[in-house]
Amino acid sequence: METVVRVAVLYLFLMLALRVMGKREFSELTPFDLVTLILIPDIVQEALIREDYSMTNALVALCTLFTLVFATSLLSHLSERMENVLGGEPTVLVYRGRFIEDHMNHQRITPDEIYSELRRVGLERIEQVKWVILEPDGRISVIPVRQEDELEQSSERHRSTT
Amino acid sequence: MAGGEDDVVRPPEAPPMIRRFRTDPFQLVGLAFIVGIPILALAGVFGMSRAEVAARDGGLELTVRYVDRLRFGQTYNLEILVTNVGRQAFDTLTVSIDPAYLHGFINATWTPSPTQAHKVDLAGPRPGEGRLIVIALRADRYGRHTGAVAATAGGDTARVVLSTLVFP
Repeated sequence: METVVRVAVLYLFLMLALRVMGKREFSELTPFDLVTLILIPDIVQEALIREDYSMTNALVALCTLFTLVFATSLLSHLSERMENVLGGEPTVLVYRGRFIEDHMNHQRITPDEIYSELRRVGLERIEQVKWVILEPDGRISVIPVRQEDELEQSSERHRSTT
Repeated sequence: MAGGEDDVVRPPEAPPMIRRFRTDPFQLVGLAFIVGIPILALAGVFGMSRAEVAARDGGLELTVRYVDRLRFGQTYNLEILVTNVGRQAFDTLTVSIDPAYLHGFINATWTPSPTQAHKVDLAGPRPGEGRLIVIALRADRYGRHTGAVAATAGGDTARVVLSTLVFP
């Protein structure tokens, strides 16, 4: 039935589009993102079911969607490569107190946003941070420098100077 | 990673594991149902399915093209063709449909228009001629709807039974 093909095409398109939009869009919704996400169902509804409002068509559409979601999840679980393709990889934004600007520009994240995340975990300065990582689900993880890391760092610096 | 820093700027990776598909029997039954529905749909099980039935009595041949399976809300054209296959012309031709069959549908639009409820009288076809009646129907009640279509002319009556399943 045509509904299966329509749901499959729109599912793949939406998955690709959301993947292209970037991780950040999943985590914090700006007013623009919110409007986009509200409009998407309205736009695709007509394309999905057209004028067929029968229960059978709705059941077919739902089962097609669940099958695609399950297949995506299974593929992602069975293959690490597919997991990275479908879900994305974590992106390092800060390493040992240094901004990785290329990654920040790529993910459209500003230093202000990173500082805001630092304050949320009780840190003030970028030097107090070992890692800031943008996770595949759009959240930002902040890993502070531990005392052992500082000691290791200073001994490394000492070794390199002698 | 950023220019030349790939080796350094990579967070510690999670250890690998053997990835397998595991599920319990209960979930497997549910999955079979969920996956089975789109497969059946692709195979055309829930789609509109056309059928044709025919009957003959004396010089009267009745052929009905109808839909034996469709979904709620879908519309289709029921085509009734009555042909004079005999050697004598008929004066009048009457075609009727069982109200039990039409009960499952709404917006029945007849071409030509019915002369009585569920019935149309037409000028009898000459030998080799035919009369076509088209009724546009919209499925309004789910379930199976069965009824007969009859064509009567010159003492001959050809009759066929239609049966249409409307999915909810």
